[in-house]
Amino acid sequence: MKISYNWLQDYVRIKIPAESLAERLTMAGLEVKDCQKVGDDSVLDIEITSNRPDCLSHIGIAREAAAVTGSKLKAQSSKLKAQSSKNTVPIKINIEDKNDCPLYTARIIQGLKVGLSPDWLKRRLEAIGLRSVNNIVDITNFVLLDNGQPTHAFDLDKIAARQGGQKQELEIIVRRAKQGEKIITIDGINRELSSEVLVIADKLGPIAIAGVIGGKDTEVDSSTKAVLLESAYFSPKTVRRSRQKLGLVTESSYRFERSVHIPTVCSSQLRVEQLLTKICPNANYSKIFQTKSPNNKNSELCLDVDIGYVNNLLGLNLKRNEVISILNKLQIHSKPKGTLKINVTVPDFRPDLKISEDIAEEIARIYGYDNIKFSLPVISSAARVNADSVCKDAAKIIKRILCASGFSEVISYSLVSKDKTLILENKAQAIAIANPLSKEQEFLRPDLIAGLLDIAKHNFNHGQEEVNIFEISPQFRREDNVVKERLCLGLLACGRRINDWFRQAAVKQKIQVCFFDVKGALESTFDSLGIIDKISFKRLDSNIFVPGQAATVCMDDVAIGFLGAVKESLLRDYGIRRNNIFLSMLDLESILPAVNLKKTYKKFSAFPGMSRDISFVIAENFTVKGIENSISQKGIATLEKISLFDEYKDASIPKGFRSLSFSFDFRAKERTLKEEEVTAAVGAIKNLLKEKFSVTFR
Amino acid sequence: MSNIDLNQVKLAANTEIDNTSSLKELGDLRIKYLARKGIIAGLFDNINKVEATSRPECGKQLNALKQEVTEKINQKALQLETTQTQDAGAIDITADGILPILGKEHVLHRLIEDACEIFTNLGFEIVTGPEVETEFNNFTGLNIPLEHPSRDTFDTFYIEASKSNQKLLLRSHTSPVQIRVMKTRKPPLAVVVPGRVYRPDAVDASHSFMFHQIEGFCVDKNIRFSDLKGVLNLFLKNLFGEDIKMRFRPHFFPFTEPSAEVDISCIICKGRGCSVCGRKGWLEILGAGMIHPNVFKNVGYEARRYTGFAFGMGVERIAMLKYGIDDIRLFFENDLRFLKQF
Repeated sequence: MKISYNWLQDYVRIKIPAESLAERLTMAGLEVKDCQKVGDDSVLDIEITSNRPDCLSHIGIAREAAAVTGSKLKAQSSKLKAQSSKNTVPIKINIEDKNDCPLYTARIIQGLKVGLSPDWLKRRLEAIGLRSVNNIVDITNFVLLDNGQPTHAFDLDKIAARQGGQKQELEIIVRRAKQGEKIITIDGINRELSSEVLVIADKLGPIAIAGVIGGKDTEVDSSTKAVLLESAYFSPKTVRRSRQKLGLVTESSYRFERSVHIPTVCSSQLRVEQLLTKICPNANYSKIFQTKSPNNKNSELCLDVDIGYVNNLLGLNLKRNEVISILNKLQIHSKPKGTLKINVTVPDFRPDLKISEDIAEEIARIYGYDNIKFSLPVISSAARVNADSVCKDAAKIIKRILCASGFSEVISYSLVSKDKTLILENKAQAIAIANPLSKEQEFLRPDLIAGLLDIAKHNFNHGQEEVNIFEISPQFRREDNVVKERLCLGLLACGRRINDWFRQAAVKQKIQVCFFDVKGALESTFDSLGIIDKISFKRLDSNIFVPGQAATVCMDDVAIGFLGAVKESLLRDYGIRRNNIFLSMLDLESILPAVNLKKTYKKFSAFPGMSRDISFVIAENFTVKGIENSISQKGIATLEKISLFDEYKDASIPKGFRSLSFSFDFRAKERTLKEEEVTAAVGAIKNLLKEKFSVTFR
Repeated sequence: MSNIDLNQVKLAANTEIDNTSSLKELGDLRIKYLARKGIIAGLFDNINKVEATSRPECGKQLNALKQEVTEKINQKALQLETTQTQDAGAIDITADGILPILGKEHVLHRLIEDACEIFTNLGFEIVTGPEVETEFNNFTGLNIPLEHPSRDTFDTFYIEASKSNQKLLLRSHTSPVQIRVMKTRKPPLAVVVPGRVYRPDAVDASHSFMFHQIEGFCVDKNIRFSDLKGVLNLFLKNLFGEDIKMRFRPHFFPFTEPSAEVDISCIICKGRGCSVCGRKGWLEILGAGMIHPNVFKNVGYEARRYTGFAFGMGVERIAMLKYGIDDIRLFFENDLRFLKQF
């Protein structure tokens, strides 16, 4: 809200310059966003938090200014008095629901002469960036900015004209709009209303949207001679719903939504009269018609506040009389109660103060937040439970291994467009956003695939050849009508696997990422998580992968994820014109319970080992894993490790067969191996290969 | 074996070593004479053919020979190493080193980890919560009325309703984890909560509908506002450097009372005023306060038995300030040229 420094001086004598005032207000919780010189005035742009409707006016800010500068508020001329004339048309006020409008006041002002505003009034409004319209409108605007109460002037003759010039009885109805009812508002827009919108109506229909904006056909203009002046309290919730429905925030709705001050509702009628008398001396005023003032609204709240509690809460050691004097600066009066407490009377313009903690904040902000010293809490050892530390440690390990393997971590948006959820076999699982910003962000992602492919595409389009990325994020699906949020790992690999100018020349070809790079990265991750022994890979046929180049990842034979070479048609859907892109996803939620991060040192043999290679031609339907398992199960105690080191097919090998070469490492724990026993073991392995797999040795 | 044998070997070795001009050849000579199956070793093998009485003397001489040849080769090696400047095996050592392919952790997660570590060092534990939340945990439990202007800053994505009646949303802050933790546990609590949050903001250089927050709270008997100041002072100095200044301004949040906004002196201009801090010299960095009694009430804690503080901050904003990043979209675009810088 824009506040004029000179205007404030009407209410409080401020001896410090505007910039210093701005600094003090900021440090007391009224953040001054900007402080500008305008002519001989200064304008402070203040951000008012939603709990302080009392500060949406110059009077309110003046109260704060007095408190932070230690000045006294100027005494205002004693209570304003209405000078009503006798000959008035009665106004019948008809409130449909008191909850929407607990208080409504109206009076008729006649004998007006609409014209230019006097200079002082123009200056005040223009300083804070408002355009002067005419004396009547300017006065209502001035009052709003001065004391925070929105008032509205209807052109009385225009209201009469609506009912065919009838002036005998004037009925103002405050009611909810009827479905489909329309009104053209003063901004020229024809608005269709609904029952959520509260309107001011006459017998014929709405003439204003209560607390938000007036109607065009009763607007004050240069020919206006008489007005009906409204000052009311509209329910904050009601005004909030109206303005949300209309998508329109006005100075009025902003204040009603935050609640206006009941006593000011009535006094504003008099304040208008006071200002208008000087500008239109011939105006005459009807009595003020009003609905019965709501009970209790005026009664002041009294609170008992324990000084010890406040000091404890803040980390201060204030004495009771210090507290009383701080509160006094804010017009909050208090007196000692018992030995340790004070009884605080909350002024009616501070509905935000309801409990001791609210009073503590008032004390602290005037004492100065910056004057409160630093301390450190004593955090009891009982505070640490570390319930899900395995989860965080595991995630950390996964990140560490994958980063070391050359994968960079990415974070992609959780919201995706509808077509990016289509990979999901069961579309009913996709979760839609009820109020999406755009078609691009209509659904919660059911997996991490779309994000990874989009990132790959972005990088390809920007000349990045090697894209090796991973993401650890939740995926969202509806399962059995429940939203399931599962933490997943997604991984994408593509491009060369080496960054080696030195050896590349020798290799004479770019070495591309392959299936086994991704599999290996996953395997090292499983190893670090202590679950590698539970993991197996099974062939997967999927609509997103190249046939025969995909696997289901299983843990204890239960599927926990997949990896594979992405099918070209899917890549084309994403606008990616490349191949050899590998993708994997793992469900971390199923992995986490099995993670075993406890490490125990295993002794290794100090004795030399021996290595033997065996190459053979074997039918293609036998898998490497199957061969390895068979040999392992043979139970050769000294066989330490089996590793595949070559696989090839060429013209020399019959169709349906392939050549495999394995290296076998032998080692004994407590002695040096003898040549003979290794030869015997190799013989046993060869026999097995021959009998079980009918291999031909090469 | 006679002295002549030894002398011949010695002579031959000396001549060969003297005539050597490269380290490679010298290496070959070392193998020829000194290896396990080399000439001198061969002489040792023949020692049993010598008369038993002269064996000790013979052995002595052999050892002397071995030592002499070894020293001679070592000396020659030293000489060659210092004199040789151009060698056939010379490489252009100014050519590029072969960089290992390293992946990088995302800068936001890196920052979150660094920040959380500062708090865990102070005794806090890390807890996370789901991104799909209930209206109670996100609003009502935190004393945020559903129809009130104080909700406006927490504009929220809702999940399209299913058959169940519960209204679900994407959490608009990490504070619902406060409710989750306090509903299930009793103080003492010292918790830090990193996580992703959502608000329907159109994406531009400084807005994103998805971003990250770090939330922290500490609840026990006698937790004070001054403790909040102390903890945040330590945290911010650890994160931004010793010379940073901090200030607390009163503010309003429905879930804390008293509430504060915390500024640090601008890390770009050191408080003199620049375009980043809007000429104010201060940067708003977090929101904080003492947990509102209504929040305690909502989780079932006895009135005023405990006090506690809570704070929250936006990770992207901190990262942008710390690393001079001028567009929030960079975090989610995931251009490798960006990711690899951190």
